[in-house]
Amino acid sequence: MATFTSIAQCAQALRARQVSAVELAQESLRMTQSRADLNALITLDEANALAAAERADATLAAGSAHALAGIPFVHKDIFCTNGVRTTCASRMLANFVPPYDATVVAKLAATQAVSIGKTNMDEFAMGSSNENSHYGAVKNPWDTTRVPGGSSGGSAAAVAAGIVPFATGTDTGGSIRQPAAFCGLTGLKPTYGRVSRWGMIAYASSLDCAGVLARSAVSCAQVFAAVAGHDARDATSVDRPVDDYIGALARPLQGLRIGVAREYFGAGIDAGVGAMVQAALAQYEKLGATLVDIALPNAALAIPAYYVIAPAEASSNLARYDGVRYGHRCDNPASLEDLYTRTRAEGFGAEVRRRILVGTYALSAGYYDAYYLRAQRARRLIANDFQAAFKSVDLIAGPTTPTVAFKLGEKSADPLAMYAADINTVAVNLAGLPAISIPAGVARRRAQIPARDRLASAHARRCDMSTHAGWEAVIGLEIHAQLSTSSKLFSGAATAYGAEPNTQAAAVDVALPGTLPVPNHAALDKAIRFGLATGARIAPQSIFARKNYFYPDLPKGYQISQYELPIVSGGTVSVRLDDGRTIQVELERAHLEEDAGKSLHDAFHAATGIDLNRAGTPLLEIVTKPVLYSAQEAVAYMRTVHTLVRWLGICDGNMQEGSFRCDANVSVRPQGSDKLGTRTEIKNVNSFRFVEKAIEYEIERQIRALENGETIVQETRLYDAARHQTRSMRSKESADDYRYFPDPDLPPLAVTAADIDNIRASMPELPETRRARYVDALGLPEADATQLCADKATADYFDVTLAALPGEAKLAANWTLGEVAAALNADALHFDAVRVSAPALAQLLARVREGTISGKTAKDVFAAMWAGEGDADAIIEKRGLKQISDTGALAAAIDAVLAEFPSQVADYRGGNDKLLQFFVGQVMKRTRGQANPQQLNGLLKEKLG
Amino acid sequence: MSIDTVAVRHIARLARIAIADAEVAPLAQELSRVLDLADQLAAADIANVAPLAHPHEHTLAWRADVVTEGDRADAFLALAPDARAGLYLVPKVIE
Repeated sequence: MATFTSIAQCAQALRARQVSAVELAQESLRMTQSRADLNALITLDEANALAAAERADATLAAGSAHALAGIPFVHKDIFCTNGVRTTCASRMLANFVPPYDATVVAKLAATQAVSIGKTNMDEFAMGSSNENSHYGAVKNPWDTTRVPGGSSGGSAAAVAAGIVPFATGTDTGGSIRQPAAFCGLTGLKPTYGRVSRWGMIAYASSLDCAGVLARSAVSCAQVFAAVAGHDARDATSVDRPVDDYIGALARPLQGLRIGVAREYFGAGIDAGVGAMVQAALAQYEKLGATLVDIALPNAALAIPAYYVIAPAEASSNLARYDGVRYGHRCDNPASLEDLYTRTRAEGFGAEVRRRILVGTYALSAGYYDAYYLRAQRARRLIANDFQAAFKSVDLIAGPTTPTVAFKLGEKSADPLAMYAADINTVAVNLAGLPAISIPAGVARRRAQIPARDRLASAHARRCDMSTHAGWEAVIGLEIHAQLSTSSKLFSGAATAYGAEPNTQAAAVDVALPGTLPVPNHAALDKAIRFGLATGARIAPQSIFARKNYFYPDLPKGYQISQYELPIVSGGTVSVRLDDGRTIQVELERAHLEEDAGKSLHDAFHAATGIDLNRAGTPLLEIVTKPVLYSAQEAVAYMRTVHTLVRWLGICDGNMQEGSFRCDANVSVRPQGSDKLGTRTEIKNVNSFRFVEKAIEYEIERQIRALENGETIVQETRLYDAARHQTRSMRSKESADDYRYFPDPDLPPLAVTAADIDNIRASMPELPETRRARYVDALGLPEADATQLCADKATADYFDVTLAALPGEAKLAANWTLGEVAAALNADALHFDAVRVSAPALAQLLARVREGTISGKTAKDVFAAMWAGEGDADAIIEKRGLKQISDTGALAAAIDAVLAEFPSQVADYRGGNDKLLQFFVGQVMKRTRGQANPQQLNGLLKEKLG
Repeated sequence: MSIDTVAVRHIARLARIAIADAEVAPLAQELSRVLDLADQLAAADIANVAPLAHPHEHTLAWRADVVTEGDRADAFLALAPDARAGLYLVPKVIE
């Protein structure tokens, strides 16, 4: 049968017109049915397969086809296929039809290879026998009483049974290589990151690799060449050119050094298997290779490390399966908790539940160091062993599995027996190395260099102050500033406010299976700006960490944030208080994190609606040390930071839209005490006034409680603006254990000194510096300088005006803060839409200085300029508003008035000085207000005598 | 490492997976055995070894701040078990 041949033979037959792609596809579909007993496939996609085969035939006829065109194959049901059910062999995704293709799927579709369906597997890739599937076990075609291996069991069975010449698979701990070994196939697990994980449903993110099972290394190379390559949608994807895998196949073995590790031929290895592999190695020697004894001293740590790390990552990756946005949901959930717990108990099989629980435990408070961290240390030792070995050998060889395929049910009663069988495969995944399983032998290729982590710590300092009689309040503020980027922190969705619900939520933001975060450079830029403006330390290496908890507005079941190594640490904000004092508020840190979506509690009866537009927008969380000692200090600090982030152009500070939110941690203690009291957290207050009132109320409440002999409960509280009080949030039964760990989907952020210098060079003059300059260099009063510097656009406008009107700082300030501000307010505009530009204002003011018009007239001219009537000169000209300063003209006007009012003249001359104003008024009337007042006064007095 | 039934219930709560009373003791046993496996790490002298979180030494590549994703509300909401008026619905949450 055609499908038992290699890809190359199939391709040849197609080109020789011995068979058509449609015929090959039909044969594969028939064979699937005739071998239905193997249970290798979950979904057969006949319609799409035949359509794709027809298109391939057309391309083949045209002579322009790819080597894989028309070749039938199957995808492991872990790769998302657009419009075709993708289940991961789980009840949880039994009804999931992805609206997108995995990168692997798209790349193979581009070659015009013909996918005929999705193969069975161990549920969520957790297993080594394909007995853990919601759709039943897969049988080994060689002996249907035996397992095909797992988790890519269906893929292995399909190829081994001759249904298709190749299949895609995934390998996290051996899930390609072991089934390949059990089914007599060649299975390739590439280097971690060499093939994109986008759209490949995640099990353990730092271990998962996409790969291929086929009948020969040549076939594997052909498929590998088609799917390998960098993918910008996968931040762990390797950005290096793809090697010529097919070309490399021709290289002879002469000179190849093959390492043989005694650890891979240990006690658990079946004698027959061991002998077979030794025989294969002897064959390689005959072909010119050299066998070298090597040691992998930490090999025994691989299984324990793997069975901590993989479940830990899985427990976080599978948190998104919650019955809310896709997949299985339990019937009639009575509450949110019921929805989660029953959906997940029903949706996941026993092995998956077991691994999630193990993983949760390994990350939990008190156990993180002993399990997860320890396992990651062991991982480094294992990687180091390989690195050392590869100094003296090119490959390392050993048996893929300790035994041949075991019987169905033989190991399924004892998970640990199953785990132990992974002894020869998991180390490779921990080190990220490529490996291939070849029938009757195993060979591995060149290693790559591991990464490194570092720990840092923060510290606290104090300064003393006093407030309430006998009591002192201590406050720390956490401000969440939404960074003003166009797109989200980890996806390319828009961040604009006010869009229809869920129209700005990309696949990543909805936490669809197989989606991955890629960070936005502008967010990093803005965070660094803040750090530079506050004199903080910018971390040369920082880490994104997962904060794990369940809430409907948190689609992934974790928030990507920063924990141990934030981008910015330390820093100080200088705050001028109303009473004239200046305090230096020390910051603990500022870090990047993504925002959650919005819950709408009142939209529906008995239901809460979730809008994910806000999910994933970038936040900068700015945390002070507990160094604020009154509500007034807290609000002054909040205002200062509000001005600063707007000034730097990193946040629009729009509190109504939620761009700038504040949480306050409040505690009290007896005056003079060293210890901090129990604190409460007041969350999400969105106005300066409310923050002040909430903190004041909370301080009072705590003092009263303590004076009554009660204790303060550490809890989260909300501010009820209507009742002017804080109240306890419906408290969670137990404090959340966030199980922070470094996000395996995001390598460390590196910031170089050059990066920082570039950003520093583009920073504006800071508000405090400018304010001081206005006072010292320009001589402006404090109040004016402060007001001008409350907003960068205002200060900029002032500067431009002043530049065109040198020496007139006070005049420019008066008008900027006066007429211009009033006009903007009246029209509800900001400086970006100002209707009189600074140069235009400067021209107007110049006319006042020159005496062309009076100050009073200038206001009218300004109003006309604002209304769009033209520039100052044009309006003055058009309306004939020039002051009459011409002595002759003035004299004429005065004479006319004096002549008109002879009795008043007589009265004035008789001693009634007050009548001067009367004459001034009359001359003004006669000159339509345009008489130059100073000139007029002088001349009038002269003439009156 | 032996896990007791209290710990099992606590972890199940953290993981939001319902477990029947009858399942608790067997699960405690199963989990204990897996953690015994993990305890093999305790013997190793690795306190001074730096943890390895990512297999390869590469640092994060960023993307430009450009909107590349449009409105997929219809396609994505269609996947939901309960979506109405453009929102994903869950049983009412009281804060």
